[in-house]
Amino acid sequence: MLRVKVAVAIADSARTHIYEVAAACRAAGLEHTATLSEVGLLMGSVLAGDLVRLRHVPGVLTVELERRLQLRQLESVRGAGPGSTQTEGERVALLRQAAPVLDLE
Amino acid sequence: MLRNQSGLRLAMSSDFTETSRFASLAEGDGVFLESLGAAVLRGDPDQIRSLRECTRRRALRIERARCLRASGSVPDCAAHSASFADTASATWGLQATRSSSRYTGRGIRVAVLDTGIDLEHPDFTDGEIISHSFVPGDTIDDPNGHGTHCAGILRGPKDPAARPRYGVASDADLYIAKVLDDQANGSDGDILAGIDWAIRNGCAVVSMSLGTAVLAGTAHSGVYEEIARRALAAGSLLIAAAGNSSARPARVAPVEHPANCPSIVSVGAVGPDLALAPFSNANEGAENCGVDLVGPGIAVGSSVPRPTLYETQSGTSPAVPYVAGIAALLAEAHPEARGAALRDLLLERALALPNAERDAGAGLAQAPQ
Repeated sequence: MLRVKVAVAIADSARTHIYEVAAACRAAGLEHTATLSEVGLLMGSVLAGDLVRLRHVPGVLTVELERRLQLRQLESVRGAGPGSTQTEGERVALLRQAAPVLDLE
Repeated sequence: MLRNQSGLRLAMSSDFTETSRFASLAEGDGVFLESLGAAVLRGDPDQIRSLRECTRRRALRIERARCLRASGSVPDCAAHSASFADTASATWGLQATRSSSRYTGRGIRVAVLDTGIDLEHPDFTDGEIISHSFVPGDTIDDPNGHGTHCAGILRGPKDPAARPRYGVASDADLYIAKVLDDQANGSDGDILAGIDWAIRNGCAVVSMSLGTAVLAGTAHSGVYEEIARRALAAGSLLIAAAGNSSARPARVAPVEHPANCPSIVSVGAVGPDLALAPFSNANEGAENCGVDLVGPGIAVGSSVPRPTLYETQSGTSPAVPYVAGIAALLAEAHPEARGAALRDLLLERALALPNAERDAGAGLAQAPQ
């Protein structure tokens, strides 16, 4: 079965005992890799079939699949340093040519 | 004439059944439209904040007034006739945002979550920079260059090695989190760890020039919204890029994740003529999921890793550290304002633009003087 990476947000009321909630999540199938205690998050992975069980662990607010981000550097239109004499029209024309691609993850 | 606890004086609309009463409009701060149960007024930011406080339980909604124009006519808002250019002393972006301010961000901790930084760049060797790489196997170094460019806009020196000046908050305490690898790829896990680290280190402002496209109608992330809400409560303001997926006027893409979260300040981009950048994403119409502010985003000069040292780049990426730097200046000017209060200051002081609110939000961020 597919294993997916997840972010598990802990409910406000449970943040003071986040480590107990983490233990309960592990019992529900979470392979726990990190605890972000300042913001009340657990990171890890779980079998796709255990997602529902994980969401119902007491103290869990929400579970989301981890996203991957890729910077599409439209900022791909690079020029000389500050004070460059490239015209506004030239810059905008270059920007229009930089065809953006939707990241459909 | 009414006077409320905020010191604002309002005329009553029922008084204007006689033309002789209209003169009193000029004496006050606005008018209460009794049949509508609404008031239109003008106040300074402190008065507006006070008004929000004292009407919290009674006012349904307080909104910034908009500038409307007839469809198809040429807007006559002053901002549209503005045009800026890099000069020998300052980049166009610093001029447009009035960032050559008496405030410098001194004492304010700001974090940049990006591809890292070139710590040996001559413009970053003065003053300590706290850094941490969250990308497994990567140092804080920045072969990509995106992070160094953004860090430079936010905290470039007042007197850089080569003119013009390009940095907003030259004395802010800089925290760099590498959350994107050298190919500018990243994961939620590393980004969220970077946010956690920034909050733990007391950063009042967190600058995130990153995102991923979402399909129209997609709900924002519940996890990021919860984290952003907790950050606000902890005194940290998260600021992120609206994204560059649009090709105006043919196509306008929705604001990207995570900037589409209501508790994250979403930043679009304008050019030197303050016109909206063709690539800048926009609000789809869902409440609180759109663009909050715009910043300079076309041909923005800043630092890049050695040996190149300086480069202009375009995108909503450079617009974000402009807004973040201005937030740092506001934080210095208003020590009591953190989190949501700092966000409110940013929005209240923005320069309104003739664009639709969905495209430019409250307008172009402006630094305190």
